[in-house]
Amino acid sequence: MGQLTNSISTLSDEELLSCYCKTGESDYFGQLYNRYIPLVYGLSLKYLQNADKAEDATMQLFEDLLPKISNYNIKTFRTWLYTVAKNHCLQQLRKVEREILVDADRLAMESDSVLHLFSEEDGSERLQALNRCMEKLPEPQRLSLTKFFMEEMSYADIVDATGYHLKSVKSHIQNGKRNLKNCIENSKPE
Amino acid sequence: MSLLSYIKGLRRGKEAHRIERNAMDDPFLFEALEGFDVVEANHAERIERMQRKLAGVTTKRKPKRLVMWSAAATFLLLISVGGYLLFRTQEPVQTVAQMQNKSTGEDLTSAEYADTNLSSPTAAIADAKAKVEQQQEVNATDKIVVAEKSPIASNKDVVAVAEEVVVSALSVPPPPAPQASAAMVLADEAFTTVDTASSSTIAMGYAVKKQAREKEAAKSEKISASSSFGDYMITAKVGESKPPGKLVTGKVVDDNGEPLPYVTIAAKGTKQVTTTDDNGNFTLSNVEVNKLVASYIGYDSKEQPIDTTRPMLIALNESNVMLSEVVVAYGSNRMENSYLDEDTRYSSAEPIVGYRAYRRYLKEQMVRPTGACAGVTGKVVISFRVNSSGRPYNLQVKKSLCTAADQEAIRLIQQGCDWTLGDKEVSLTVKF
Repeated sequence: MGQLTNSISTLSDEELLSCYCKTGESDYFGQLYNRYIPLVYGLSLKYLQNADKAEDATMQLFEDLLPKISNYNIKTFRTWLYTVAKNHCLQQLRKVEREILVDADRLAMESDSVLHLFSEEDGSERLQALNRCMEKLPEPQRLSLTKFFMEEMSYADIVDATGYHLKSVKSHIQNGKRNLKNCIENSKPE
Repeated sequence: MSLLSYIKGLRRGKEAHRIERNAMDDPFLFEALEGFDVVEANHAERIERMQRKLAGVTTKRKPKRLVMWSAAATFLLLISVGGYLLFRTQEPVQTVAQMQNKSTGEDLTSAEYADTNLSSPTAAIADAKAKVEQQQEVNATDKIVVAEKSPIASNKDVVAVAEEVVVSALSVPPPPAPQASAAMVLADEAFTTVDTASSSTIAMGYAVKKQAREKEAAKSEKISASSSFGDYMITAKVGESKPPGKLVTGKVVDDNGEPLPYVTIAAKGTKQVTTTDDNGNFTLSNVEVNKLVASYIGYDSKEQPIDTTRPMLIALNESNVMLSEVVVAYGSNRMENSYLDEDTRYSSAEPIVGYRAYRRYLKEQMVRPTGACAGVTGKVVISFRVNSSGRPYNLQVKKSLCTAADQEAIRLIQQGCDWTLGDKEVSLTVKF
C-alpha cells in the first residue's frame, strides 16, 4: 500500500472519493482535497476576512472530513464541498459570536439564462431582442458586456481598455446582465 | 492557465477571461475569487504551502486512521452479524460445504471440511480474506506471479495451504469471533453472487494469503481492509433480514423551492439519520416512527409526519435566530459591488433539469401540428404557476399562435419535468 502512481491525478473527483471510501487510503482523499484548496481557501478568505484564519479553516476542514467523508453519500463532490466549506466558515464565525459580514450579492447567482444568450445562435429572434436591449443599456454597461462576452476579455483587460475601476467593471457587467435579462423578458415582439 | 496563476495576478487575456466567465456559473469559484480580492496577502504561497502540508499529512496519519477504521468496522460487524446469524443458524455447514465445493471443485475436500465443523468457519475466513485481497490487489504483480506458481496441482496441496491458513487464523486471536463470522457471511455472499468463481482464482487467493502472512506489519491493514469490505456487504444483508420498516423518500427545499443539500434528516426519537444529496433528495429505510425531523444550519428545524405514499416534500425556513446573528450587510469597501436587486433574490420556478435541458426537451419532443395549423411558425407563450409538488398548474395561453400549436405547447409543459418551487408566475415561450 502507499504506492500510488501518478495516474491518480487523472481520476475524477468522484473516482478518487470512491477509491478512498473503498480502500481507506488517505492519499486519495488528500489528492482530492488538494485540488480544492484554492477554492476552499478563497471561500474562507471571503467569510473570515483574514489569511491566517482562512488557512486554519481550510486545513481544519480537511481534518474534519477525513474520518467522516466515507459516511456521506456524495454525488457531486464539488457542490457538496462548497456547501460544507461555507457552513464550516459560518460555524467559525458563530463561535466568535461577532457580526458576520455577508455580502448579499453572493446570493444573487443569476440563472444562466442570460449567459447563454450570448452563445445562442439559432434563435435569430432572441438575438434581435438581445441587440435591441443592448442598445438600451447605459454606455459603460454595454461596453463592459461587449468586451467581456463578445471579445472575451478579462476584467483586468477591460480595466486597461476602458479606464474604469476594476470594481466598476464587475458591477457594470453584473448590472448589465440583469438589465438585459429584464429587458429581453419584457420585450413583447411587436 | 491555472487558477493559481490567476490568483498570483496573471489576470489578462482569454484564459483569465475564461476563469472569470466560469465563475459566473459556479458559485464556489465566484466566492473564492471574491475572497482573494477581499484580503491582501500572498495567497498563492499559502496555497502551495497548504498543498505541501497536506501531502505530508496524509501519509503520516495513516496508521492511526486505520486502527480507527478497523475498530469501527469490527464494531459494526459485531452488531450486524449477530442479527444476520439469527436468520441463518441452520445454514453455515451447508454454506461452507457449498463454498468449498465451488472453490476447489472437489467433493473430497468439501467432505473433509464439512466433517470438522469447528474449523470450517475459520476456513471460510481464510477464503474470504484471500478473496478480498485478491480483489484489492490484482495490480500487485509480484503477488500474481506467486499465485501463478501455485496452480491447483493436487487437492492435497490446496488442502494443505488451506489448513495452514486455518491454523494461522486461529492463532491470530484478537477478535476472532466477529471476524470469523463476518468472513463467513462475506464468503457466502461472494460465492452466491460470483457463481463463476473458478478453482484457479481461489488457489491464487490462497497463495496471496500465504505471502501476506509473512508480512506481520501488513497483516493488520489487511484485516481491517477485509473486515471493512465485509461490512459493506453485511449492512446490505441486514437491511433485508430485519422486519421491514417504512421506506421514506423525499426532498428538502428552502422557502424559494431550491433544493437544500446536506440537510440532516432524522427519524424522530431514533438514531436513524441521513443527509440529503446535492439535489436535496433523501431516502431513509426501516423507519418505525411516524415523524421526521429535518435540520440544517441556518434554518429552523422542522418536524413532519411521515407519508410513505409518495415522496415527501419538506420546506425549511431560514432561521430567525440565525438572521439576528448574521447581519446581512454591505461592507463599506464593497459598496460599489452591491448590485443586488431585490427581485433577483426571490428565484422564480425553474425546470428541475435546468432551462438548457428543458429547451432541448421542448425542441425534441414537439409534435408539429397538422391540419389547419400545419406549417405555422412563431411562438406560443404559456404562463403558469408551480404547485407544491413541483407540477405546473393554471396553464394559460398568453400569446396564441394557432389552436393546435397552443395545445401542443400545453401538452409539452404538462408532460415535462417537475419544476422547482417558486412563488412567481412562470412565463414560458415555446417556439414552433
